[in-house]
Amino acid sequence: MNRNASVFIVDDDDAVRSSLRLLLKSVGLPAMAYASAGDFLAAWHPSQAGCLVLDVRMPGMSGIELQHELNRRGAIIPVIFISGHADIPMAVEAIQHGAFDFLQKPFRDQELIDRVQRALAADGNNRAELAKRDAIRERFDSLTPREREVLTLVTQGKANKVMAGDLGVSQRTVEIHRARVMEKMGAASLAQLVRMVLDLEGAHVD
Amino acid sequence: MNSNGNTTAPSQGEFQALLDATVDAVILIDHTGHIQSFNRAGERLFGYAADELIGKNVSVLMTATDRDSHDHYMARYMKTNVPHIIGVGREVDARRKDGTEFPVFLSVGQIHGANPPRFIGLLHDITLRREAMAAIRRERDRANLYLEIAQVFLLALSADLRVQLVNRKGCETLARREIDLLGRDWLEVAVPTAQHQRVRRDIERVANATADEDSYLEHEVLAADGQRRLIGWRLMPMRGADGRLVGYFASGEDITHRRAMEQSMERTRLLLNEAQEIAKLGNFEMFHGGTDGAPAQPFWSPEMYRILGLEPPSHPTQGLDVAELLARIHPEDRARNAEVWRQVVGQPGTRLDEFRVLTPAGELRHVQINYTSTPAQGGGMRVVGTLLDVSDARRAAEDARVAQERMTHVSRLATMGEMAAGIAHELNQPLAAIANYASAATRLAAASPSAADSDGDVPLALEQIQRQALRAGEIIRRLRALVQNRETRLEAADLNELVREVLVFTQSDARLNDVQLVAELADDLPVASVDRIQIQQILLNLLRNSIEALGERPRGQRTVRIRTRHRPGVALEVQIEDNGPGVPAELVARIFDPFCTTKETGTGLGLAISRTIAEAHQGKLLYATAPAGGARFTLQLPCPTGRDEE
Repeated sequence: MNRNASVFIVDDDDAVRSSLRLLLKSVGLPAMAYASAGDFLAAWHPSQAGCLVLDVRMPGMSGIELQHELNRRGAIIPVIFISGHADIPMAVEAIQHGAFDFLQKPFRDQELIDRVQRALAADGNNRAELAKRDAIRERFDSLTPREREVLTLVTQGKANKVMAGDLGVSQRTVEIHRARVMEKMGAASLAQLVRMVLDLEGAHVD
Repeated sequence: MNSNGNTTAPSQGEFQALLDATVDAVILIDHTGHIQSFNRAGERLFGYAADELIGKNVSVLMTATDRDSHDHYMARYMKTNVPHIIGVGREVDARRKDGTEFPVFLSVGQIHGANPPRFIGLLHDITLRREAMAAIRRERDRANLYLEIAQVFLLALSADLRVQLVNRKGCETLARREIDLLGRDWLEVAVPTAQHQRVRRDIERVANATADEDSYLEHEVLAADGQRRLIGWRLMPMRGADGRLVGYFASGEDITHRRAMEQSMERTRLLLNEAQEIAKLGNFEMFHGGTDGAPAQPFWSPEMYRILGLEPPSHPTQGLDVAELLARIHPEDRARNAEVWRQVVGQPGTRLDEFRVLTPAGELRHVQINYTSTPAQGGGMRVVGTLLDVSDARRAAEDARVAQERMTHVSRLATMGEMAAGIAHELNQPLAAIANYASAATRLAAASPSAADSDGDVPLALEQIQRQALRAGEIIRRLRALVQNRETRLEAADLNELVREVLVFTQSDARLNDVQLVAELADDLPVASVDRIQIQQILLNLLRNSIEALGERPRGQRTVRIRTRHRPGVALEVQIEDNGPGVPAELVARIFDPFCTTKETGTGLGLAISRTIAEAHQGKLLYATAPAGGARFTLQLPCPTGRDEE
């Protein structure tokens, strides 16, 4: 778990907000509390690790509307909904829009703590994956056009002689490009290089 | 007098003795009709002395009509010598000296050998015979008349069933003349073909019957005009001196109408019986006391027996007396019914009772009895009435009451659910905060235990706070499960009608609790615009509250009044007022608050919900202490605005 990760609480009820912060603090989870969706959006940055504990029904922008806004902004922060007035259709809608979980007030402390910790872990994983993908992308961007061509052919499993024919260069030149690709991408083996390319393509798919 | 032939002629003295002894008048005349001799009987008969007549013409003894013809007869006989009367005799009228006339039989003989001839006349007084004959004739005429005017069909048949005699009634019945019937075959002329065989058999049976009761038979006769009549016959075989059957004499009665009446009555009886069975209603007539003559026979209809679980007797009008009725009554109800019976026979009038019947098969039935008594002829009382089996109705009413209670309960719960839904969010927020604070405090306390809390009570207390907050949340969740998304639907309604319907629902409750419901409904109410179900829910709730509150008053003094009132321009009101203890003064300010209740089993939501509903109708629900001290709730609804609704 990222040490910088925080739990963000958005609830219009002062007592709920402050009691939640105290509860999370009692188990060593740093929390920041906001009285409205607007306050939260003003203070929050997508790069901040953590999870969001969000009341469904609030004056102004409701919890569900905030979730939609975050989705629109491409945020990956996990959202745990809490509601004093939950019904099943509402919970289903929230989950379909990517909510991490849904809790009805009042709830057992452990229920919330478990969910918060799972959400933080998930956020940590997500962020680590994203960081790794960003690093690969950076290395890929440093390749010259010819090196990218070689990378593509290598990951297709073509032999150096074939690549030389395809590219119209000597076999020796292919070998030099290939060594440079491996070095720049930081790949120790052909297999590792192939996985990096797949990760990148997966990112494109996302 | 001269003799004739060989016989010894009687002497003159013997002849005179004969003449004197005979009771008939004997007259001797000559050929000119002059009397030559007149005997003593003649003197007695005619009132003349013989001397007065000797030498007179015999016509003096005759009536005026016979007188002329006598001379004529004499002259004719003298001339023709052909006798008309001699040796034959005839009845003629004779005339006494005093002028009275009387009938005689006249015999005339000629004395042969005399020249000119002489005649002897014997006159026998036939007055008595005439009268006897007339009497016989009258007798016969009267018998014939009887036969003719008899209202029975009289018929004599020969042994081979030919008509020998038929009276006028018979002719009328068959629409035929006597002459067309006499000598004809009875079956051919009068009996429908299909019945020939049976009638023949019946007649044979009667012919051979020994006992009198076997002489009856009946069959239809077919009249000439096609009408059929049903005749009941008494048939008597007639036998000759040698015991041989010579024929039959029959008297028949037209029973067509009577039979139709009997069938109609039987049908009526069966239908009545069936109707009683369907309605489960029996009736009876019983008698009590009275010393004059034999006690009258009681009557119980068959359904009466069936309701009591007894086998109806074969005789349709047979009844039992009241002791048998009492014996069927459930032991717990017997004493009361016996008391009712004592009142019934003590004083004329109508009395009702309800009791349970324990049938011999062990079935329990609820019945209602109606006794109506009137003084009987000859003293005592005649009691008529009905017995109605209300077991089914009772069961249905009980089922309906249970269903109604269940429905009311569900509806009450549903309203609680709606209310819970409304307040769930508001309550759950603080509950969530309480739970959170408590669990946070538990953890914090565990991290740094307080020196003052040596027993560790603080973590325990904190844990309980959390648990109870969660429990409260769970209660609300359960209430919310009853939520029904129901909106208030306004429609035109007659408040009086709503009240009456609610009273019907409440009636059984009220009866059970011995509460009298009094409706005082205004007859000038405009149509209200309300949600019928919701308004009835308020009324039901208020009525139930009142009935429950009246439990503290003695039975027989529990009254709930429900009034409707129109206060033009102000409100339409329904007021429910009881004579119970009323709401305690310290509670009056809070009775409409949720969860405020004086009842052990109450939810404390009824009045809160009722007020919410009233407000949803732009109305009010108000409480005041009734003048007599009980509770008075007033539901005020807005007056209709449109003038056309008034």
